[in-house]
Amino acid sequence: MKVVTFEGETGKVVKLKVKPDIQVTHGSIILLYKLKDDQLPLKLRAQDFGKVKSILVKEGELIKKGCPLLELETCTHATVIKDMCAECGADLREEEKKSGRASVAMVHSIPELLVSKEQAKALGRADQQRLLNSRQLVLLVDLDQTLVHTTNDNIPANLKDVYHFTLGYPSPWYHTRLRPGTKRFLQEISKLYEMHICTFGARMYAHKIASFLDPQGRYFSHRILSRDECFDAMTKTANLKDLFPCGDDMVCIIDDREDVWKFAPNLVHVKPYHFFRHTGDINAPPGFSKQEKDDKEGYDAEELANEHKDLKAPGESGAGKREEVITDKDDVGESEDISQDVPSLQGDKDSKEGSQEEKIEKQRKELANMIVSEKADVIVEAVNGISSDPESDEKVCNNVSEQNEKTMESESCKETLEGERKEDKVQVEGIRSSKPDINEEVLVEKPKSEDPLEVLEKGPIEKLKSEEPLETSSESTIESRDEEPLLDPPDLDDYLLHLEDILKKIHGTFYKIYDDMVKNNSQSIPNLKTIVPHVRKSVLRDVSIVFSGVVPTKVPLSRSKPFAIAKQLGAEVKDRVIPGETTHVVAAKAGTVKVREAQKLTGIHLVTPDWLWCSGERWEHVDERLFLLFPENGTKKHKKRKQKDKEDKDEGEETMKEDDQGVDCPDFLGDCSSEEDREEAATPRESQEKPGAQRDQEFKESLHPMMFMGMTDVQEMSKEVDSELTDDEDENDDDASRGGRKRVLEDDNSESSSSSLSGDSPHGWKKDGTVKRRRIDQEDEEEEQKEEEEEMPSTKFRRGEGYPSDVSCGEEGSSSEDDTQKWASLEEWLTQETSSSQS
Amino acid sequence: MFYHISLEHEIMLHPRYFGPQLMDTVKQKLFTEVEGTCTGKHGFVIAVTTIDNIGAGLIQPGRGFVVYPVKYKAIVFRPFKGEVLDAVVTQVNKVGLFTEIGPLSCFISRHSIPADMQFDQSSNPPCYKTQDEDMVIQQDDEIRLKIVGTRVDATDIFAIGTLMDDYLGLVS
Repeated sequence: MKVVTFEGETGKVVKLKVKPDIQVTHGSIILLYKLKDDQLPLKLRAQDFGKVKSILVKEGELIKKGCPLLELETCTHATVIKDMCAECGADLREEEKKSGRASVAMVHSIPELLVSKEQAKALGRADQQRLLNSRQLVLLVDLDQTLVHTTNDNIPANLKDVYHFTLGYPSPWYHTRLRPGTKRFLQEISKLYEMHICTFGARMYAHKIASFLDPQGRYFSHRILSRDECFDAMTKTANLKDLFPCGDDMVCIIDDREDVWKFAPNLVHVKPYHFFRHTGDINAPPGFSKQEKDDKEGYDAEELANEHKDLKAPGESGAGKREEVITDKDDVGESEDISQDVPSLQGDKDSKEGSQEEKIEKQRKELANMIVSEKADVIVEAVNGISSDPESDEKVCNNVSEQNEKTMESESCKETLEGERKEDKVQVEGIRSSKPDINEEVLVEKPKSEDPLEVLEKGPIEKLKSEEPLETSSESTIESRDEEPLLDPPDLDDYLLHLEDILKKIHGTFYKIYDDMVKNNSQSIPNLKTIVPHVRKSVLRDVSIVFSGVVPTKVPLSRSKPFAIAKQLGAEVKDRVIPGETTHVVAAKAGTVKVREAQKLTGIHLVTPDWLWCSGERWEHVDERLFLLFPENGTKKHKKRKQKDKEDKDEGEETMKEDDQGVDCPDFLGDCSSEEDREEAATPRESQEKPGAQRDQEFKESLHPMMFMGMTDVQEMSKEVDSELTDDEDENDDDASRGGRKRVLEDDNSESSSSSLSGDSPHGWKKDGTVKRRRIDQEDEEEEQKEEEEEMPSTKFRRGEGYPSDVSCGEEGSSSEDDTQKWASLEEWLTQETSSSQS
Repeated sequence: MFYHISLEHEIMLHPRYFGPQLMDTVKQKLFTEVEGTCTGKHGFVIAVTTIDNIGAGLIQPGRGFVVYPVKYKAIVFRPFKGEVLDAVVTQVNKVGLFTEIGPLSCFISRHSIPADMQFDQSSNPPCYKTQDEDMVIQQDDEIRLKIVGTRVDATDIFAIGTLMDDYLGLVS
């Protein structure tokens, strides 16, 4: 509070120019006064900034020197921008009054703008009330790998749904692919949530992406928090307090990383979106970049580029100048042989034919998988009229679709196509380019993603177009880019649909509880930090799970990740099968004791761990039939799928749809597979029940490429077994007080010995099996090596490999010496075991 | 406030420009280097009007670059406390308004916006408006404001504005 006094000669107040609660600044007129009656009125101006609290003089009153005039409330500097009070304009750098008055950065994109705590609280409350009135919640949205995937690698310029941009100058090119269904997701969720972007990308990047996602600014407006505004380079939680001064009770988060939110309970962990291979999160916090999956899934830019080249090949002479978009690659071999095949004299017309066909073929391929409708036939004929007879075309189409189903190696596919090529080269070009990335697995049985539907919808239009003269149709199907057809590699990621369901569920639960609270005249509002876990807990509420071969024996069950996931989903986890209580046995492989026990009982679902991951990812009780440990009779689909899955993984790829290990598991999957290995090695029981080939497959499956036993592991193991055998050979099986590791071993002992005694298979099987296994290993190793050679050193480096080590070359085949030693020790142990149990 | 003042600038040229177009290059370089910049002292240089004198070029020893001292006149924009200006709203948020006065950005705190105008987040785009929606200030609107403070740095000026005075607010 400050009192303004009159400093002039004695005079008379003519008119007051201020009213209470009005701000005066330096130079604004307070009142008019006269020294003498016949004089013109003089102006009295304010010297300082302040809000008028009370006026101490009246009009007509005489004022003398030193007479108090006004009470001014001085500025509290509650809003500060760039060290300057945003109300009075005072320079707070000079005044040294910065001392924490205004400290809360409430506006996402302007960290310089600070407001005081009281103001922030008031604003926060207003926000909260507004959200409650409009029945919304706050959703913090991450960008990279949640809604988009961005790469700096060189990629073909004509991919569908990929935005290419640079940020200022100089800047690398960025290529951003939106997750399938993003626009729809944003539209749906914006009704229920006020969305904020929270990303570790730079400000320019974040705003750029936001402009792609939300060109009209409807969803995010200015609520974009980027790395530049983050207080902490490692976590995003630091900003929460400022953005939501009244607490983050109504804040829900979607992100593909839990660590940056310090594992906040109100976080919905999203399955990371991975489209471009070799690229992780380009904006991961320093030292945090996770790379386990970098090479496992997504599209290889080179492959796409090759595809793209193939597609361009026929037109190269005509419109060859597009080349500059593509990177200079050393593996052009594939496309070269094609361009040699194709007569280089082919003109512009042919290139158009190629692109036209490409489009149509793509459609037909989709259609062939579902229904070959008349529509498609018409299209086919429309095109075939130009280049070839429909029959051969049909054949090729079938080939392609078959290949999709089988996910054959691209090599064999090429061979098939080789034959066709003689018939009609141009056409083959079309198909080659249209067929999806062959390494990418196309699931036969998958919930329809939008893509095929879209294509179907486009069908009739397409038909019309194809009936038009070629010139116009090929141009009209192509967007913006000069006559380049859009590559639309199948992207089977449909996670946003599930995410939408999750978020709707959370929103529904929140407002249901809120309504109840309002009814009970409760002033408080529910907290999403309890609601989100609650919703998650209801997913597997009535489920009691027993893990078998999933949790490594050295890790206590309660500290393992599968346990945590199951608990988060609300399932009960027991360490052994309890009749009448256990509902699910999650087993990494068949043939364990627990699986056997469960098999004897009815009503217990025997499922693979994928079931749990899938449920955890989608927050829904996934149908067990999709993930049965023992696929139902006749339908080997799942099994096949799993095998394929495995193979794909070995090749460094993974299906997008069935990426069940995706979210939470990679870290511990390594562990659990080591456990599998161990169990497998110790007691290869299920092999006894199965014919050789299947057993090999089974074995291959159970091997995880990420993890393989090192020498020390093996030695440790055999040592342990030795001590086990020498210590007490006739120990009780149900000695529960012993550690899990030992018990399993004992179970194994009794199990394997009993089964070998039962004579299911001859005793000599083991050697056979191991020999076979070794051979498989070698083969795999060769394959692996081939692949390794193909890989660029840079990609290897990115994965953090670059040097041979036990673990990293453990991907299917470590050094052969290592292997032999290991197997030798295993065999030794096995013989010991059998002899001991027989005795 | 706008001024037309004399300024000086040194142009450094690479030897490859030595030739018949030398003086043109110097002039061209002056325009690109000077227009649009901001100095704390003179404010924003809006446009060069005349080039009064291009002094003798001095070749830098050991480099070959030549330096021309140039005297020119330019229109500059220097904001002052108490000045009333027209601005364009660029961002509206719950703490206040961000505006641009040509090259100058200016912030108006919500406390400096007449109390009868309230922030409305739910409208798209967000805006400040009176109860009866008589007056709505949203993005891209033109408003008249009074500058209450400036933050003058070596290469930039930032201003604080207010709408709490007569005849300020939406320009319609």
